[in-house]
Amino acid sequence: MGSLARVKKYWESKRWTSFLESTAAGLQLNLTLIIQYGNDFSLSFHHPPYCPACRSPIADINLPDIIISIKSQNEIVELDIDGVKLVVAPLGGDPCHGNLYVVARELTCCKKAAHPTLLERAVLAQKLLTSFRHALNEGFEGGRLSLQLSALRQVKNIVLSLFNGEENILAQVFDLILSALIILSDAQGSWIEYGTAEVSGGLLIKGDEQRVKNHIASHAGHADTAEISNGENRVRLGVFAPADGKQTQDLLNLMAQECTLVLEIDHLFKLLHKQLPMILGAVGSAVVLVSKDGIITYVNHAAELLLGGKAPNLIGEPADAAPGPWSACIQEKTSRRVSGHMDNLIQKQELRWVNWQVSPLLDDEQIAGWLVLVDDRTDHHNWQEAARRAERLAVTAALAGSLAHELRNPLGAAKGMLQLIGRKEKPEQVKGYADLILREIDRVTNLLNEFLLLGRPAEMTTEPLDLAAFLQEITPLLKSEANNYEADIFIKTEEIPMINADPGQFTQAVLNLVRNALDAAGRRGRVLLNLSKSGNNVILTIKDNGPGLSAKVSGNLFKPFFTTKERGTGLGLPVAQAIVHNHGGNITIENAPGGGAICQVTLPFYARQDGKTTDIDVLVTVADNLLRYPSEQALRTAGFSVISAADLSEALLLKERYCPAVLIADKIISEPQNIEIISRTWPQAKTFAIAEDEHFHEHFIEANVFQIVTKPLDYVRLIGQVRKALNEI
Amino acid sequence: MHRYKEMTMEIFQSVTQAIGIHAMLLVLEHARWKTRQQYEEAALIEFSEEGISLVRLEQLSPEKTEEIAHFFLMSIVATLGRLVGIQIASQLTEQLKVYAGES
Repeated sequence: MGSLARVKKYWESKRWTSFLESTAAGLQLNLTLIIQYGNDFSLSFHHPPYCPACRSPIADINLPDIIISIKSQNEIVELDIDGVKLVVAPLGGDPCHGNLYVVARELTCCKKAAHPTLLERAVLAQKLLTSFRHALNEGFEGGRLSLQLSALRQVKNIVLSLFNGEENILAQVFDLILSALIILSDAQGSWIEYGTAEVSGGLLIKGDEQRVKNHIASHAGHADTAEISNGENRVRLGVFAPADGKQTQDLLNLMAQECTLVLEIDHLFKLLHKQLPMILGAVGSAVVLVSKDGIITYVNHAAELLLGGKAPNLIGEPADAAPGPWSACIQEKTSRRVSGHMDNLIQKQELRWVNWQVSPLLDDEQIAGWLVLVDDRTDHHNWQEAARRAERLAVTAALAGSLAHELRNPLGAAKGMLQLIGRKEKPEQVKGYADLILREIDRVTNLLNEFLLLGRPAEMTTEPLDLAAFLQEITPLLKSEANNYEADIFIKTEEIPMINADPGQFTQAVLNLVRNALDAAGRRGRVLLNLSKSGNNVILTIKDNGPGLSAKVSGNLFKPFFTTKERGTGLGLPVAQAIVHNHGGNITIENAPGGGAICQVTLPFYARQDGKTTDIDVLVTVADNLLRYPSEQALRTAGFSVISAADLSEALLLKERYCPAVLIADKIISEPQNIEIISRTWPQAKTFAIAEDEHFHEHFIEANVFQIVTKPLDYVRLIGQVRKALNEI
Repeated sequence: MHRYKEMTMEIFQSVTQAIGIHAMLLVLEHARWKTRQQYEEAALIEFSEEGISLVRLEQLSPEKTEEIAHFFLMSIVATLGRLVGIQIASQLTEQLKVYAGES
């Protein structure tokens, strides 16, 4: 379509002609519209075509007569052509739609009656039509800009697809931009050439491909182009045979900028896609990305090696092509992170130990896929196993050394007694030595069990013990030890309540502590044992006049195998600590005021009520030694008075002597008959149930337990729970 | 008018497949803009990614409605002629003529 023809079509729109007719009728004028586009003029429209009064036709004006006057001046002109008065008024214009003029004539039959004058009404018509033309043009411009914005919006929509991992986005965007150019410019075709300064990226053509190619090759036909560079990217955009040049040029510049932007984004994405595998490839763990459809979209090198046994190229395969527990999580479309351990992953006919984790990749709270991380821990596991073996060997060796040390002591004491017997001539002088020797020999036997205190509980045979009398009884043994150091030992006691203790274990503990004090005091040193009562505790202190403890030593005193002695095994004090703890007591060693070190053993004595039962904090009734013993120790260390039993019948034997505030029990409590027995025997006790697994919870709820503690036991938490329960009591 | 409704839906579906929804929306917006230059009432034409609706146009007189709908469709066809080739546009024009004749 020619340019003038296009412009004429615009001004012959229904809206414009309808307004022109209304204006002509209202002002009782014959109005003729003249369109100028460049140097071309055309009569567009005249109204009314005949006189409304006499119905006689009104002849067209002679355009060439008017053109002369329009060309000479651009203001309102009054003309008289062949006796007919005319007023020519410019209506303004724009480069897109040309210039408009209106020619006003009197209607044949109305010219005499009409008032105001032709000129006055022509000026009015000019004002009305100019205003309407402005409104139309603004509407047109607004619509055109709105179209451009729509085009950009659609481009953005496609560019956004880039972020969703869609492919061939660049071609889609360029196709849309070329379409937009044709649509918005009413053009016959469009094209884009893109690339960098050095490399041509490509040529895309839309619309009339042949004519566009001809134009590119030989500049045949009219086209507008825009060329733009942004960084390395270069874009040349063209529109073939557009309807309007000026508007098209603006549009071309806009779209060319958009193209460079898209190229830049595409470049960044390509860079990211290139870098991502490099980054993930460097990760030691196997990384697998799975799309929301359950298809593997990425695997790093480690994943190929670890998981790609059956299908070396996993990309594009379903998630279960990399078999493992993670596949089930993806099948169930898990929306939370799931992790686990697998010790039977087969890689190249070898079993591998792996830790795995599946994490959902969320996009605006919607699952966009999953990230699977599989960490091969086989080497670590093997290393740990080797370390454990080495540690076990070391412990065994140390225990053997310690055993020898501990056996040597009672044997040495017995030997010393026998030597003393040999020196004494009168039998009454050695009275009681035989018993001491026998006791030491018994202790040798018991010592093997005592050692086990460090690792697992030894059975205690407790009995009411008067510690003051007990110390007097073993005084010869202690003095014998002191003789070895040529040291003095003093024992001071006061009247104290009885405690429950195992005399054999306690002898071991006191001897170990005294030996330690004598070692510290050195030759001709002094050691003072003092027994007293403080609150509900019996306090035994063992003070020496040695050099005291260094900071390094004081922090490690009770660590097994820590020793400062040349021939020590480092088990004396830990064994003593274990025995004291086993008796529900506590032990500390620190520097004494005025020099030396002081060891303080605190042992609880239980106040009897009604002359029958003793109040205690906790009764632990658990069959599993490896659970009962550490629980007992942990609670005692925390300061609670604790007794324990392996089962309910053993616990019931204690009912006449002890009244626990808290009862910790294992699955025995789930038995209905046991529940009844426990609630009848210790009605005031708050019961803690140790759960094997989730299934036991229901039984415990039926048993009306105060608290449920699940395995593995968290001892710190257990202490807190017991403390809370006791506070509530 | 019913035929125009069918026609617009057919055009929407077939052309969207050919040129994609993004370009189709642009074609529709351009056609409505062109039509508005002739008929202010063309603002009543609605479209989205789901399709074209001429329902609001029906509040006008049947003649006016068909006149506007026809102009709108011809604008679409004219644009498509430049975008996808004269042959497809000609087929659509023939179809339109048939519809216009039947109505």
